[in-house]
Amino acid sequence: MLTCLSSYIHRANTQLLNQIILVEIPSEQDEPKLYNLVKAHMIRGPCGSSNKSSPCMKGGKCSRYYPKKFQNSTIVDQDGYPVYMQRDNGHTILKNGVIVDNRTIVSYNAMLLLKFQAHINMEWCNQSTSIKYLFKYINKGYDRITVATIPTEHQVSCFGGVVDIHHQHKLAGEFFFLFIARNQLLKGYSFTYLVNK
Amino acid sequence: MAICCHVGFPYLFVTFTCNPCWPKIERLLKSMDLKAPDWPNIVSRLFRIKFKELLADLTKKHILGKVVACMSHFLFQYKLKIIH
Repeated sequence: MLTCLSSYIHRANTQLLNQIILVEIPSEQDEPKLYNLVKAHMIRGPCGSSNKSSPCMKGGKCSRYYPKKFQNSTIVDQDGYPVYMQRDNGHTILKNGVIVDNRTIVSYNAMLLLKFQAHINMEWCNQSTSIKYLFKYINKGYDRITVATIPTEHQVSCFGGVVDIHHQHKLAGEFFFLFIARNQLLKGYSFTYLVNK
Repeated sequence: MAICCHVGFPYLFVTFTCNPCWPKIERLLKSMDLKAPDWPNIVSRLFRIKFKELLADLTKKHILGKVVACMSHFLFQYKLKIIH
């Protein structure tokens, strides 16, 4: 989701950014609930030297540049990308047998994480260089697929009867279902699904 | 580009991934001995409710500041069959 805020905070106001986006492990004693949520959802990997078989590893390094360096304050680097505040404050989390610190945390918003209890990654993106990528990302994907349902001997199952007219997708049946699960349900239609077991 | 000219550059890029261990999903599926990927329709529906709530928080309650524009896109992770 891309969000535009009103113009008064459009500037690279790093103090305001620190209020919205957090990239640090909270204190286990003071905020135990937030600590457990960060542990469950907002940790990258573990990858790097502690787990070289992680899928993001390329050429001995993480392709997403994790673990990052400690940073005392939020700054915007010369390319316009934000480098968030990740202080070396001694807070650690034990994840999959590896002790991780602030450097492997994915940026999050504490209020939204507490409310929704899911992975909500939040990034500052107010720069002209990333506009094209972001809008491409938001607009990509199929809007429409042509499929037809044909009656089978057993009318109960429609999965065997879904064919892809243009033969573009090998998994037309699954695609059809996933599209219904995704698009139709997001529009609010109800749908009956037979468990195929 | 037209959007950027009209409302300015986007400020925040938010990724919201469905959590298949949400208590509501677990409560429902526990009795049936199923997992979240077996019922993508129910998971999607719950995700939709949560997503609407998130949108309302951002655009109506303005918890992160006044929002002037917002655009979103849904993806379906094939591997895990989780919407995000």
